[in-house]
Amino acid sequence: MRTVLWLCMILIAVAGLLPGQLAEPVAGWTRDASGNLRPLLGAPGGFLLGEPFAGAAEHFAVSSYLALWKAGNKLTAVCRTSGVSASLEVPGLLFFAPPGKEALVFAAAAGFEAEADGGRPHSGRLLVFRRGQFEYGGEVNLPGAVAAVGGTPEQPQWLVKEGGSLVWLERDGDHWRTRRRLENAQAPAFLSTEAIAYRRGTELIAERGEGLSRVEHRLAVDPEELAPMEDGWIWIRSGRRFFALRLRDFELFELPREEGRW
Amino acid sequence: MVRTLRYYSRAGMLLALLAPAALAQIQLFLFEQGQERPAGSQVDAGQVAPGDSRTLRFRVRNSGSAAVTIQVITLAGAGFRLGNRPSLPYVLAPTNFVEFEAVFQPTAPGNYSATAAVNGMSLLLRGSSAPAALVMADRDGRLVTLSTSDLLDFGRVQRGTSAVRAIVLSNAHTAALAVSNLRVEGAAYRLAGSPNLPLTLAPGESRRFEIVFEPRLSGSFAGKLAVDERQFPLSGAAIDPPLPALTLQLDNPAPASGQQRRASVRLASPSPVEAAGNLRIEFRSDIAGVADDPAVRFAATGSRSASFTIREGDTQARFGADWDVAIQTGTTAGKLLMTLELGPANLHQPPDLVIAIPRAAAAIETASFTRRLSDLDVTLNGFDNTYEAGLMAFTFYDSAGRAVEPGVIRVDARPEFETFYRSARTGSAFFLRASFPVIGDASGIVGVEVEMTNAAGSTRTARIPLR
Repeated sequence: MRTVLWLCMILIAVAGLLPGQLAEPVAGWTRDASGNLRPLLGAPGGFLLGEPFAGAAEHFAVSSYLALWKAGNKLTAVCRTSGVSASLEVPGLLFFAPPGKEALVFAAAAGFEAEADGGRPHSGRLLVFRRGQFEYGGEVNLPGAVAAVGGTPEQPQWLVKEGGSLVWLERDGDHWRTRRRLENAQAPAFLSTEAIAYRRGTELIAERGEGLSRVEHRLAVDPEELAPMEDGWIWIRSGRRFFALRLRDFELFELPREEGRW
Repeated sequence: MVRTLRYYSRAGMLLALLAPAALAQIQLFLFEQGQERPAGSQVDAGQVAPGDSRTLRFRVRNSGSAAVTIQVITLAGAGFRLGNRPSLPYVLAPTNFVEFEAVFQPTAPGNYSATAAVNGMSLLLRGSSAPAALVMADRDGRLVTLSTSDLLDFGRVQRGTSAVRAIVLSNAHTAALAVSNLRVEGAAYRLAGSPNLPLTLAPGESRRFEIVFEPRLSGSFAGKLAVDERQFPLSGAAIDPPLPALTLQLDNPAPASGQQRRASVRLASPSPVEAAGNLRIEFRSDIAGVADDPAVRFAATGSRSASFTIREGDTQARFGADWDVAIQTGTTAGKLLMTLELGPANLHQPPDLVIAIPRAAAAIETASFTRRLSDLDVTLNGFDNTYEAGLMAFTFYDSAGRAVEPGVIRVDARPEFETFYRSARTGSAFFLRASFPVIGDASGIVGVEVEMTNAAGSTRTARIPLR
């Protein structure tokens, strides 16, 4: 009976697509050799560089909903569907959690702790971008230098340095709860709800899943910078080359450069 | 023995007709080692071995303020002859000069003299020749006597290999000959089997040794064989050995659209040389109306050309710092033509590797399912390398996993895709948003599956959950 009811509810089964419902796909974002943010058009294995979207950006993070980047002291977030954007002056080092419909940003406090640990701070403040504006998310004091921020605005998670390894932490009341210790893991690192990636030696280690279903993959790419470039993808800078790692199958794609650069 | 020749000629008769002022305007100089000196009335050509030669360069200068016509240049005397000289009559402008050569080439031991004359001026040339060993070289299986003006050419050899020429010293005279100096000059040359020095050659006696040309670098090499005071020029050239056969390989011999494959260039053996080249790709679309796919390119260069280098000892070409290079296969069915270029670009060179990118069912890279107020939205990112996309089927599911009536909703969007592809710049890649207006409570719909069909097959997504 219920299925008969649905017949009435879906009144118009599309007889055709409306104009504007087909478009060139934006597969993600990347930085070009000049540091400018550019959309990646097309499909994996058929990527093309789009026109520069923003000027030189030190950091960026992109999901299917949001794009965030930092240029100079200016942090900008744009809703990719509505085009609504907001900007904020934030000096210092930023860490972007892979965004979803909302975005979590850790703004490091400038101070001796940051300087003493190679610019990777222990403390700072959280910023949350939701409903088209930035909100203050509270102060954070971590037991180690930050390597990556992940999780959600409600439940942030961290990868912090401890000795020669990284520790995956989350807040548990007034305490930090260790979810896992990643032995011999180094920055740069990436932490999302579906995957972790970090540097080990000159390799990139990418993990998907948890517990028994955890899958680990080693890639012979020497990562110097990692960023969320689209849902399910990690953007990688290795020297002057850029790569995109598809998390569902750990396939690594080298991103095309502007013509003439080698 | 002194040999002289009296000189009477028609030219000499002409000299008498020249005005004395014109004669005073010209002067003779000997030009040696880059410097001029007045020739005076006598020039000594020195001692030259029989069969050898020495060339004297003379300059006739016009020191006056009016042009002088050189009517006569003559050389008379045994063992001497004229070499290069101007065509006569020759008008010599004021302050200018013209050169001529006198070649002293004695045929036997003895003393020689000759008279050279230019217009009304003359000078005496002297020379002598002492017995010397014949220097003979093996040429095509027979011995040929060398003079110091003959070039002993070793031809072109591969760098790292050698060429050998047999040399014979022979005494064709009636008295014994001593050779106290025998050596080669030039980095690429050495003597093999040379006799101990000093060497005494009895009349009719011969001694054999070899000159080995063994260049370690490519290029031209000059050298000298010195036999006492006589020097015989040596010449040879070294070329790089050929590059071993190159084989172009792809990490997957049967690639598909939407992939990145790595191409490498392997050598049949370690390279004996350094080399550089270019790997060029060309794409030929199998799809009518689609001439090209701009996404088919090397990622590292962003173009359809990638340069490579080969170092000595390499068994693989280097693309920058890598042993291979990534190629995007694009999103269009067709053929990848890959060509190795070791010289200048040649667009008519046949490809070294042709890889087919076959027609395939549509690929759906990402999909999402969302609900707005009165619409259910399905978005798809994908590509259809046949460019026939448009036949789609949507099946919505409730939380119990049952297909919602009316079941499969079929959509033919081929006209829309055709229109889209006419202006698309990204091959067959597309972003599609399909909206399904809903009246009533659609909260029970939690998933959708989408199927796309083209002539090559069908692709069905997994269940896409509502976000």
